[in-house]
Amino acid sequence: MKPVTFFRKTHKWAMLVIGVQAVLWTLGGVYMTVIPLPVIHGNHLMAETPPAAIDWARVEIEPGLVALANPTAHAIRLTMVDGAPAYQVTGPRQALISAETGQVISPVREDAIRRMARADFAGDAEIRAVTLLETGPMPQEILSTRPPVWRVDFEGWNEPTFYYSAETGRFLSRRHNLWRGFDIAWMLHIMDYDERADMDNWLLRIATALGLFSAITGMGLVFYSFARRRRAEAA
Amino acid sequence: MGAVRAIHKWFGLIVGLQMTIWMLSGFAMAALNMGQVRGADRIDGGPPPQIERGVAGLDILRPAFEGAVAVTLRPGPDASVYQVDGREGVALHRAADASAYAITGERAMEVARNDYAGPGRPVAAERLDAPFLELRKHEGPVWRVDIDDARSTTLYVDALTGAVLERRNDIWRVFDVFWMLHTMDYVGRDNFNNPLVIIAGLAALWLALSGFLMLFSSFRGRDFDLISAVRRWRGETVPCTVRAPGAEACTVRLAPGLSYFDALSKTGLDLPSNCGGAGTCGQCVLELAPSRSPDKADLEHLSPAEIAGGMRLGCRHRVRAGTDLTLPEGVLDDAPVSGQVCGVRYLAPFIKELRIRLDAPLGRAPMPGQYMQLAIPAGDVRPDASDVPECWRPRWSALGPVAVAAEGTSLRRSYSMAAAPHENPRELVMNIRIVPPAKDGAPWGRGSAYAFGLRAGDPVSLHGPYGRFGPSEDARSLVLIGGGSGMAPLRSIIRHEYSPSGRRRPILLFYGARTEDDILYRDEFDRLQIEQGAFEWVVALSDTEVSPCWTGARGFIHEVARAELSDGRRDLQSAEFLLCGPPALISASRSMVEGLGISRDAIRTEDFGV
Ligand SMILES: Cc1cc2nc3c(=O)[nH]c(=O)nc-3n(C[C@H](O)[C@H](O)[C@H](O)COP(=O)(O)OP(=O)(O)OC[C@H]3O[C@@H](n4cnc5c(N)ncnc54)[C@H](O)[C@@H]3O)c2cc1C
Ligand code: FES
Repeated sequence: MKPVTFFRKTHKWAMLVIGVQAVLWTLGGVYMTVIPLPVIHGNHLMAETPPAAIDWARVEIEPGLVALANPTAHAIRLTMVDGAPAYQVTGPRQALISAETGQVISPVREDAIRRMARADFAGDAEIRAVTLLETGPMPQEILSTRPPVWRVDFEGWNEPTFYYSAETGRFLSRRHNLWRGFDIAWMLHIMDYDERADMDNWLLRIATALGLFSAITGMGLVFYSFARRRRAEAA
Repeated sequence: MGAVRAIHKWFGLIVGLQMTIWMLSGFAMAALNMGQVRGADRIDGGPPPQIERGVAGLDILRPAFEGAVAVTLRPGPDASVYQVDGREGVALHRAADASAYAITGERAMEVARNDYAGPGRPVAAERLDAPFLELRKHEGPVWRVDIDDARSTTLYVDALTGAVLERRNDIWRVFDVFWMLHTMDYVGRDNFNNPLVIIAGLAALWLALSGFLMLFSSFRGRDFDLISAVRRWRGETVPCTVRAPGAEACTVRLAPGLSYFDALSKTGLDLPSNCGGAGTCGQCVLELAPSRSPDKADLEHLSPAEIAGGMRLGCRHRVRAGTDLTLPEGVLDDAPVSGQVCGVRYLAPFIKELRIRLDAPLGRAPMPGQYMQLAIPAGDVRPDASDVPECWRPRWSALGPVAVAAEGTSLRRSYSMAAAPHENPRELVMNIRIVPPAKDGAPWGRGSAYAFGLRAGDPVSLHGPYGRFGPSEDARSLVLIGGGSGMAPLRSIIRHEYSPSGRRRPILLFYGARTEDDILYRDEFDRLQIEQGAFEWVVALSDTEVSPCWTGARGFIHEVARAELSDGRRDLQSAEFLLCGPPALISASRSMVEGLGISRDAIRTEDFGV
C-alpha cells in the first residue's frame, strides 16, 4: 500500500471509531477555554462584604470545654454564624454549638440559612427554594459532600445554587449553569461518566491512544496532500 | 462535500500539529496514575492527634484576639494551636498559652513527617515565597520540604498555618509538562483561557466537525463487509467466468468483497480507467451476468440501452461468485504495440498533430472514435517549447515559464485517434493538446508534455485500441459537439462516415475554439462542407477580444448549438448526439441536449477529463 493510501485508510477507520469523541473533545475544549475560569468558579456570585469580627462580649463558653465534649474533633472553630458567635466542630462528628449558651444549634434552621445565603449572595435575585438534603446520595454537582446539606436556589438564567452544611452552617460550594456546562464538558473530556472526576479510566486511555494514532495518520495525510502532487485533484 | 473536504484539509494543515500534541498530552495524562501524580498514594490517612487539654481560656483569648474573624483550635505540628484569621491575615498561637507559634523549618519537617507515608524521609526544608512554578496557586511564605524518595517528592507547607499546600513529585513534574502542552499556556501553565488555546481550539473544532461530516460520505457499504474482509485475509477467492471477444471463456478466481475493477487488477487484468476506481471516468465498463441494479455512476456514464444490456462500471460493483464477466476488447490481450513518430506539426498554438508509424498493424482493427493509450516513461518531463512557431510565442509566454512537469512513475494517457481506421492501418494520427498548469504552482501535465515533446524518429509504446465512443448503427443522422483537442475522435468519425465504407449519414458538427488560430483542420472541413452536401459545420469562438475579422458565431459552443438546434428546422428525434472534450463542455452540452427533449439513449460522450 502506498503511504498516502495507508494514511487515508487508517485515518478514516480510526476516525470512524473515535470521530464522535473527537468532536466532543474539541467542543468541550472550546467551551472550557472560552469562559473565564473565575466565572466558572462563580466568584462573581459572592457579595464582597467583609466577614464579621467575633463579638467577644457574647462569647460565654470556653473553647476547652467544647474540645472536652468533642474528643474526636479535628478542629473547633469559633466564628460568627448568622450574627451570633458559635463553635463549628468538624471531624467525624460535626456540630454547631452556640458560644453564648453551649447549646447544639445544628441542624441549622431554614430561616438562618436564608439569612446567611441572602448576605453571601451578590445582587438581589430572589431565593427560589431552600431544600434540606438529609441523606445520600448527594446530587451529582456536590457528589463528595457529606450530608445533611442545605441547598439554596436563586432565581436567574444562570440558576445559581449555594450549598451550606446543615451541621456546621459552613458555606460549602456554589453552582450555576455555566459551571454545570463546564462540568459536562469536563465529563466528556475525561470520559468518566459516573463521577466526572476520575482521569484514571481505561476508556480514556484507549480513546486517547486511538485519538493520537488518528492524529498522526492525519498529519501524514496533510504532509502528502500538500507536499506531493495529487492526481485526484488534477482529474 | 468538496468545501467540507477543503476545510478539513486546510484546518488540518493549520492545527493538525497542535491536535496531535493535544492527543499525545491527553494520552500521556490519562496513562499516568492520578493518585501518584497528586502524591495522594503517599498520604498518611490516619486521624490527626487529639486536641490538647488545658488550652488558654476566654480571659486570655478575648484581649489577645480582638478583631479576629475566626479562631480555630486544632492540632499543630508538635502542639495544639489556635489559628487566628484576622482581616489582614492568619497567625498561629500555641493553644496552651496563646503565645506566638511560628512554623519553623523544623516544624515544617514535622508537618511533612506527619503527612507523608512513603519510603522516604524529609531531609531538608527551604523557605520560599509563593507563587512559583511548582506552587502557583498560592501566595505567601512557604516551606519547601524535600523528601528523599525515588520520586523526589516535595511537600509545600504553608509557613503561616503549617498546612500542606501541595505534594509534588517527578511524576507530577512530567504530568505538568503535558498539562502545559495541553493548555498551551507555556508560561504559567494553568491559564487555559489564553487566546492562543482559544484560537487553536476553535480551529480544531472546525477540523473535527468537517471531519465528522466527511465520515458520512467516505464510507461505502462494502467497507463494512467484514466477512469478505476476513475471507480475503485468509486468501480465499471466488470463481467467476471471464469472456472476451476472440478469446475462450475461462474461469478466474477473484478476491471477494472487492470491486471487479480492483479484483481483476489483482489478477493482472487492468480495466481501462482514468480515475483509478473512483467511479468518475466511466472507462471501466464490463458486462455482468446475472445483471446488477445500476448505481448512480452507472446511470451517469452508461446509456439506458447499455444498462439494459448488462453493462456496468467495474469499479462500482462487488465480486460475487459465479458471475459471468464479459470484458471489452483489449483487456485480456493488453500487449503493448510499438511504433515510431513519423510526423509532427502544429495545428494550433497548443495542439500538435502526431503521426505514429506502427511496427505492425494493430491486433484488432480500431473503430472510428476509439483511443489509444500512450505509455509515458518514468522520470522528468520538460515541456519542449523550442519549436513553437514565432506568431504563437506570445500565447505561450502568457502561460508563464515552461517548467519541468514533475517527476513521476510510468503511466498511461489516453489519446483519441484522429484519422479514420481504414486510411492507413500502419499509421496512427493523434491531436495532442499540451495541458498547462491548472493553477499557479501546479505542474504542467506530464503525459501531454511528453507527447508534445516527441520528435520524428522517437520510439513510442502504446496500448489499445479502446473505447466505446462512436455512432450507433441505427442512428439516422449525427450531431457532433466538441472543443479543442476533442476534435480528434470526431474527425475520425466524420472521415469514416464519408469514406467508401461509411454510411454517409448527415452530420452537423459544432466546434468550439478560443480564437481563430485554435480551429483545427479548418480548410479540411470547409472543403468537406462544399463537397458533401450532408456535412455542415459551425464554429464558435469563445474569446470575444481577439479575431476581429471573424464573421462566424461567438460564444460558448453549447449556447451556439442550442440556438441553432432549437429553430425547429431539423428532425432531432432521429439524430444521435456525440459530445467530446473537457468535462465542462460535456456537462454543459449534455444538459443543453437533454433540454431539447432528447432521450439519454441518443447521447454519447467522451470526457477527456482535462
Ligand atoms: C478517453 C480519452 C481520450 C482522450 N483523448 C485526448 C486527445 O485526443 N487529445 C488530448 O490532448 N487529450 C486527450 N485526452 C486527455 C489525456 O488523456 C490526458 O488526460 C491529458 O493529456 C492530460 O494528461 P497529463 O498527464 O498531461 O496531465 P496531468 O499530469 O494529468 O495534469 C492535468 C492537469 O492537472 C494539473 N495537476 C497535475 N498535478 C497536480 C497537482 N499535484 N496539483 C495541482 N494540479 C495538478 C496540471 O497542472 C494539469 O493542468 C483524452 C482523455 C480520455 C480519457
Ligand atoms: S475506474 Fe473510473 S469509473 Fe470505474
